[in-house]
Amino acid sequence: MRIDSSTAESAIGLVDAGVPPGDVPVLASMLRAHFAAFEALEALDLSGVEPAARFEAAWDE
Amino acid sequence: MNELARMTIAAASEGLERRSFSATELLAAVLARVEETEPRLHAYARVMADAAGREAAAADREIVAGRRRGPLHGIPVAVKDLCYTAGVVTEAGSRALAGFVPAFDATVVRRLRKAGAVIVGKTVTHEFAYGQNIPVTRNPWDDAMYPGGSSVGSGVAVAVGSAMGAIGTDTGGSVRVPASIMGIVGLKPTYGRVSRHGVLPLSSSLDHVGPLTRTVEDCAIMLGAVAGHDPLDPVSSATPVPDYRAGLEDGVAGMRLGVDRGYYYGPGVDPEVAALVRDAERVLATAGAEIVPVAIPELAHATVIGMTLMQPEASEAHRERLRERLADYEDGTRLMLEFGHLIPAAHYVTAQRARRWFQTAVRDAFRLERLDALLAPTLPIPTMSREESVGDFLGGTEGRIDLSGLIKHGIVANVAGLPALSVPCGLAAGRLPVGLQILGRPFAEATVLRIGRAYEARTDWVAMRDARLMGGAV
Repeated sequence: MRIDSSTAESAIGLVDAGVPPGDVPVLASMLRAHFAAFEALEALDLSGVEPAARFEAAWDE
Repeated sequence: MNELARMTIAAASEGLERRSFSATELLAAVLARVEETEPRLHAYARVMADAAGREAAAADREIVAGRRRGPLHGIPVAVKDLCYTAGVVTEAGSRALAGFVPAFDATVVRRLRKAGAVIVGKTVTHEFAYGQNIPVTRNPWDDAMYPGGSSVGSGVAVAVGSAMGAIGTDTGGSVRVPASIMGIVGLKPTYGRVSRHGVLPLSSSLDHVGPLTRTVEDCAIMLGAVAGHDPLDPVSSATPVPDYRAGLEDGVAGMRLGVDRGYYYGPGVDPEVAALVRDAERVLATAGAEIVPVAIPELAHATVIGMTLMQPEASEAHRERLRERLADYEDGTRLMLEFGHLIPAAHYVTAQRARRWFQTAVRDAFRLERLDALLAPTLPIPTMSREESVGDFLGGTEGRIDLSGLIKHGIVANVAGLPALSVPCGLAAGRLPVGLQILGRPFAEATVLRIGRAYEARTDWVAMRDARLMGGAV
């Protein structure tokens, strides 16, 4: 996972304000960890499961 | 210590009704407790003594005139500084919100006022409830240890008697975590049960508002005052609000209480925590409940689902402010808010689908096993040192002790939207409270409160806590 200041700033919308340079390697590390954790969800069979447009706690009875 | 400040809400309410003392005297006792404890504990971001005095005086006039509004009338409570209070600075623990004065009360504050509660002040929170900075609030049980969060000030204030009850918010456990660590009661209600209007959002699909109190009955009283439909919160439920005190003493005979040992007792769970929560299971079994072993393998995905939803939602909520006030955020908060923008949109949608799948699995387990509730440790450990309390939600590994390790037990109820109560169930190492978590079906707050009360009535942890924390300056 490689990100640099300009891609981070663009994605975050901080093109004008600027992402602090020290944040970029930390964000790259966080993103790597996210992708590693997310593999577990990618492995699920979610066929036929619709994303909830709005989450509701009540169960279908 | 003034005996009035030691009282539960229920007992103080009876005293006010009998006019054994006045709301003004009750408030004076609580403010004396604030004065006694705040120099060391810093539970409050802001004490509203003058306004509270006027509210208490007004409550006295109404009660004397025979217009008592109910059990919260004249009761001094606190609210997390994430909740809007009209005309009172609300900063959510952040320089990025310094000096912000809302023009209106959050619905939860408005409902407390309508019930006649006296608002003592605004309590300390982690910055924007995101858990990325070390709060100023100290732990009255052990100064070196993390006092819980993000509703940290609410937990400490209730525990030491500088508020009789308090409001917190819970996105991944932030009511239940401080409740467990402080040895008090905390409830995250069902998603949609309590309005979030006027409460600064962290993650809209996971955010909840709930009470922290010293007893289960007090929790039922506060929930009854703040629950109910609010057209100003788009996800607010119109499900009727029952009388949460009505069945509190009905016990647990015949109830089926599930325990998933695979998820809740896995690596990283402190043996003493596990032993205390198992003791609590035995107490409930003795009271007539059946403890039912269950296996819900889908629970293992709770954290990644929850965090993949929470991070982009938090970043979206803070997008404009982050651009305008970047330098005013704490480093950890800023990084988390930056990071949420980098999570692929496709991952967010996958997490939404997985959430639906997760919710179905939990529902099916309740149905298949005919469960009334699930029991679990509120936290895998009693607490941690203050220095360890900054979360590393993405870098954490199984068994690691930091804030991210604490979220695993709490976030199940946020992802599923279920009500979850934490009640004190003992002390680890003889000095650090442990919480029993009770998760119920949607809108079954009355059931989880009844289970919590059945446990509380058979143990003496409430008295033990008060003896430790209400004795003096702590």
